[in-house]
Amino acid sequence: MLRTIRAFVWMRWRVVMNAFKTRQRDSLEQIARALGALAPFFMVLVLIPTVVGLSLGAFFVGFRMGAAGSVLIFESWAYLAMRIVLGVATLVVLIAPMVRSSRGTGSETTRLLLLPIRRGMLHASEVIGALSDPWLGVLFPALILFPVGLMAGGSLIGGAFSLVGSLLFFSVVMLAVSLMSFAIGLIFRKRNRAEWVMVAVITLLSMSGLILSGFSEGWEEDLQNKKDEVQSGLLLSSQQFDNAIPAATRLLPSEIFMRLVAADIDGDWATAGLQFFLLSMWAGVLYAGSRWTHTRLLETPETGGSGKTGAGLRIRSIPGVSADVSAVALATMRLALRTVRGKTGVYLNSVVIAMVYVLLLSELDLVLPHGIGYGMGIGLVGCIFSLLSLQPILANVFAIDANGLTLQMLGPLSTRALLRGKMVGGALLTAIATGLCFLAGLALDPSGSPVMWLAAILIAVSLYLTFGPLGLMLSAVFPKAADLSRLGKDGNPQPIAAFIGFFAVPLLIMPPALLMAVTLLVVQSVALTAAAAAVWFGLSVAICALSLRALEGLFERRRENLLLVATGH
Amino acid sequence: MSTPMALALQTKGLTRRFGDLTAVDSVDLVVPAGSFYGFLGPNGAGKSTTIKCLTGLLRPSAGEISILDLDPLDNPVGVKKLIGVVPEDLALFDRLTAGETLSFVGQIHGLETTTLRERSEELLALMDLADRSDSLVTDFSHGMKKKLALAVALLPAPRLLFLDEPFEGIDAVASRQIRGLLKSYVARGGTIFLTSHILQIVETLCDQIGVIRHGRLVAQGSMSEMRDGTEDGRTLEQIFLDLVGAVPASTSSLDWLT
Repeated sequence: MLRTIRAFVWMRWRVVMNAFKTRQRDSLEQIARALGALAPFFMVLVLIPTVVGLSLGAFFVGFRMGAAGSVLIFESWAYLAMRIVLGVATLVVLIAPMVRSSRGTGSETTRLLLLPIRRGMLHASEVIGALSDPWLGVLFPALILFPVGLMAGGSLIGGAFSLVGSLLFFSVVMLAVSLMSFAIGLIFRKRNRAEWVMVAVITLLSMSGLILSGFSEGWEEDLQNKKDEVQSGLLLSSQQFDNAIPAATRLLPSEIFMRLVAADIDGDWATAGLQFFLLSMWAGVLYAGSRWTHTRLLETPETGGSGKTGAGLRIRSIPGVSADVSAVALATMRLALRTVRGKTGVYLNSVVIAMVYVLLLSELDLVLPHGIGYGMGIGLVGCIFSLLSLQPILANVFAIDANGLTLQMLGPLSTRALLRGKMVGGALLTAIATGLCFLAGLALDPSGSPVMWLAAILIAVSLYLTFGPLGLMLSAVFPKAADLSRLGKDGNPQPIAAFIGFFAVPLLIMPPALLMAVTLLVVQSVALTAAAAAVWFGLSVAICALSLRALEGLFERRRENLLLVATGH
Repeated sequence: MSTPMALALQTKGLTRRFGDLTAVDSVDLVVPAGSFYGFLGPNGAGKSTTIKCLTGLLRPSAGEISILDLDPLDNPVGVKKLIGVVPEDLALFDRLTAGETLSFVGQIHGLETTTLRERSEELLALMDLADRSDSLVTDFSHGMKKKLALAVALLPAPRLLFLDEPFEGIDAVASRQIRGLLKSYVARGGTIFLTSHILQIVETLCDQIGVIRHGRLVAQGSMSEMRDGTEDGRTLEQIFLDLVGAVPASTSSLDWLT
């Protein structure tokens, strides 16, 4: 058993280290990879204080509870906080596999079947492998140090039983994470199904806050009450908290565990035994579920789905641009729209922003400057969010083509045509996403001068004209093989490209925003605002044209490296 | 006085280095126009790197290349208009359909819409992919992808075809179909530069052979020239094994293997 686990750990470590080994990469690519490798380092830097803080806090709370012989210390808030933290932590570790989910992980699992390891052992190794999950790593020391604190505080027997309970609870969480990972792997066995599930997950995650606020009646009063409570120093008690949450939550493992701890400290062994039994039941059910799903995962082949588009041999082209530029642009747009990131990046923003307006902003009664309406604001904000959510495409536009980039480089396509094609392709995606936002804005609040609507559209186009070449530059300098149907880092651009792109969008909207602010608020002239927008648009066209020309040389220098990265070498 | 042989492809001192590794070392290729040239070598000998240099995917570290009398370094777009390539990684967009892939290639080659549609239909039918024209490439099997890649390479009617392992992963029926297609292409004046590990196929198809080992060209010539000076009836496999210096496996080794 230990030998098998050691072999698995060694294999994972070598896979990571070997990713840096290749003679073919150029020095800039090595730097980009090194910067990319720093992201987990920063995560560790953040995690270490979290682990230390949480563990020391758990020990301290355990010590105080042990000394007091009751969980009701600090006005019972420590107990309530622990319940909330454990509940949230359990939720986070369950969501994490969904975000990391990827097609192909099942194939790796299937490959392991070739090893002379029994399926039960393979399943156990994979469950224990969940320990490498950083979130579980945060939880584990705190769960151990809490009962240690209880014992140190004087509650020796209660602490000892709680330690067993902690280990049992941790096993339950570990099994739940494994079950979730295997279930996601199973979903990903069918490409079409996986993509739609991921679209649904992103949509739900994006809208969860809005949906909750939409369903909660009288949220404004609640908010005011909570403010009053905080101001008067009256804090929610554990009992009030219990009354506020649904009764079914009492069956959650984190809640059972906390009742077990309370019973251990109180010496209520009947209750403790019942909670221990309930936790064991959870562990049993999750183990059986995890084992069953793991077996299904191993036995289910990976399939694509029908994948029929109904397009047949229809040959389309974009009017106004040459055939080769049009071909590249259409390919870029089609590829993006057939991925999870592309679909959500293009279609989701308008819905989310419209919902924000309907649920929150429409209630506000702000006096807007003459000629301005909320609708055009929705359009402009939508443009910013569209560019941000399309970053995985726009800031990595060459490498996401994977082997398709080779096809483009083998064809009689000049660098200029390729860059223009990518620019037009990105423009089509941004235009659909932003256009939907403007349409939503127009439907919700068509007020404002038509000239200002035109100015808002010009500013949105200008934003793309200035960001597009930057995206191409980032794509050429910091390429990363990415699958846009993956949710986690596997679908993201290079961290450095994502970082620059993220800050560039608000920076690039600043000049026209300032121009509008001055002309609208100081000069108070709609005509002048529109003229300023037109001037900025003209300037953006010039910036775009000059940047594209300058990018040709850069692209030529990066051509070989781009091919290597895109094709996964 | 004999007229000089027309060449589809010629390299002089073609070299490609990756750091301190020389993958292709001073290779002088001579590929006559209208020939079926088999480029052979063991794994890692430098075949695919050579093809990548010839097709413009990699820039040579040194040497000269002439393709159909054009220099691909000076005129890459001009050369690419004349060649078709099936590279080892197949070079297909995963999330385009077969029809869209052909449409993409036809458009960047500047084909008229009618010509593009006619050729696409014909090629898809020939490759037995007609009913999958609106299926995404990602859902294709390896063999189907290979056939589509070949259709893509043939679509612009190239004068020179580069095929990197075209028969790998192809079933017997498709393999026979493709061999017939390639033969007729050469018979009509096209030139093929092919790499394959299946020496029996190379032997039946190719009239010119080049053998590369450790990045260096160790032999080149017509099939009959290759056989000159050797015992009668020697197969290409025997000639190849001699050229690459393959050592017969010792029967005494791996005696633990039951």
